[in-house]
Amino acid sequence: MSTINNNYRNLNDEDLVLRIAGRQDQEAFSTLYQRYVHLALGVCLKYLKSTEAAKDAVQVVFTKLWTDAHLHQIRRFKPWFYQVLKNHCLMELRKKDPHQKVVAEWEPGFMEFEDPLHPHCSEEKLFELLEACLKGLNKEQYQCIDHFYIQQRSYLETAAHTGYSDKQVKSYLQNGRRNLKNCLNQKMERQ
Amino acid sequence: MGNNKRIIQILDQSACLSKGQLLGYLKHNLYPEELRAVELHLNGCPFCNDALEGFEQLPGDPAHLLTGLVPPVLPAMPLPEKPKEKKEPVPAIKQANPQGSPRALKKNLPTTEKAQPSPGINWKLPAGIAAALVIGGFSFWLLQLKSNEDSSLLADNSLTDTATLNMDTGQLQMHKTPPAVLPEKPVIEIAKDSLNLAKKEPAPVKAEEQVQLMQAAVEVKKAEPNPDETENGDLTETTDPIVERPKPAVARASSVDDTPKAAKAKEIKEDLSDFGIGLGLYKQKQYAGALLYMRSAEANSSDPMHWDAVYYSALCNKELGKRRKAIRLFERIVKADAPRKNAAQKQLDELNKKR
Repeated sequence: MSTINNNYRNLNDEDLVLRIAGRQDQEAFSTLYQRYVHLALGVCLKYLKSTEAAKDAVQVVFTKLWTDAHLHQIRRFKPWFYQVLKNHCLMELRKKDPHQKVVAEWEPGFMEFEDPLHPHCSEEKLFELLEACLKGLNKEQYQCIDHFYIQQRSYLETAAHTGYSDKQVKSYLQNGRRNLKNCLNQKMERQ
Repeated sequence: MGNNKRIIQILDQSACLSKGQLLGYLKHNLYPEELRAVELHLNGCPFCNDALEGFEQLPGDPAHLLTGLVPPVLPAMPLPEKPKEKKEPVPAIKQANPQGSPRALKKNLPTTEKAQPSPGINWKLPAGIAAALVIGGFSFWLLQLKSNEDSSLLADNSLTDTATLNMDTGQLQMHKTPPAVLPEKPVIEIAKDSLNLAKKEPAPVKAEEQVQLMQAAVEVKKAEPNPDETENGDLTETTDPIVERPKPAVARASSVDDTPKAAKAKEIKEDLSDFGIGLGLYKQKQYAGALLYMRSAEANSSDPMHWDAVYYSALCNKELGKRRKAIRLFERIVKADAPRKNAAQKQLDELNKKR
């Protein structure tokens, strides 16, 4: 049994979903459940702001995964599952209060799942392109990236050195990273 | 780590946070290296960021909340449809004599093969089909050969040789006469336990035999005075059997039983009985096919091979992994004190040991 569990742990999310969809594989479901239940609960807690509601939502969404996996062609499980969780939470909030506006929190743009970058150039070339893109960032983003990535500091240390709050550091880092990736993609496409 | 590699770290994507990493980050008790890995991941994962925010809002202990979470009870889901497996074709129908009634043959066959081989032994099914087709083809060829011989006899002697006695000379004279219109071969009812051929009609008597008979009759006749002779020595019309045209072959059926061809036909018939075919298939390890025939053979309790058929049915079930059915059939043999009781008892003991 432990060998089977180990084998399932080595499978990626998409393989596990295929097994659930195709063979109703409970072991695969169990592995995926263990992998993401704590994250699912956290997301539901953030939007529903209630422990009981969040627990129910997690149960419902995982049951939906079991019953509906075969209905969807899931190419990337993590973004799909995250979206399903958010949609469910939104529906629950609308059921409680149809007039409550929750649109602002759902606006895309702040942080999205990124497509995996597949650089088709050498590391040196990549470094050159990244350095060029770094110069295009604004001051706050550049500072945070410099402290966090190049000087290898933690969030708290970066916050202490730059004078920004924890949340601001996170925000600048995330935005800066996204901007760097977009810039890199553009430069690589031109080449 | 050089600056280059540190900058390139910006592009790295790592797996989502584990339960331990999440709880450790919330409690601020991660090692520096682990903290670094978690923060690097958080820069690029909205899922983990939202989860972290959700737990940070919670007043209580997140670990307690997570341990209280129970996996959902999963509803039973129908498995996606698998491609339909080809059913093993019923060999008896293909082997059937064209003159035989197909309904009578089909009656005794199960419509679906319930005794499917156990999963993982799918190669036996096509092998069984192939064996059944070979046997069917061979028996059909034999029948064709037989019917061709009969028709060739008629074709070669399209004008049959008829012997008439010339009273003047006292000799038999051979004439070519058009073949007699043979009556339709009667279809004899197929026995219930037979999947195969109708009984064949015996072959018509050959012209040579006919001549011999007539010669014998002539000799007998010569010995007696002919009451029909007139004073002039002319014969009146008589119904003397010697002068009559030979009766149709059907009437001479009784004399044919001893011929070697008839014996061969009987032999073939015996081999092509349900039990015979089933036994052949069993010896070739085609247990599913053999079981079909054995079931058909055991349906008739008055058949002398009935108990043998039951015994082999049990063996087939045993080979196909159907232990309970096999045990039931062996027990039946033992209870009925039938022949092969001892063999059945041995098989029972073996099966009961494996429990």
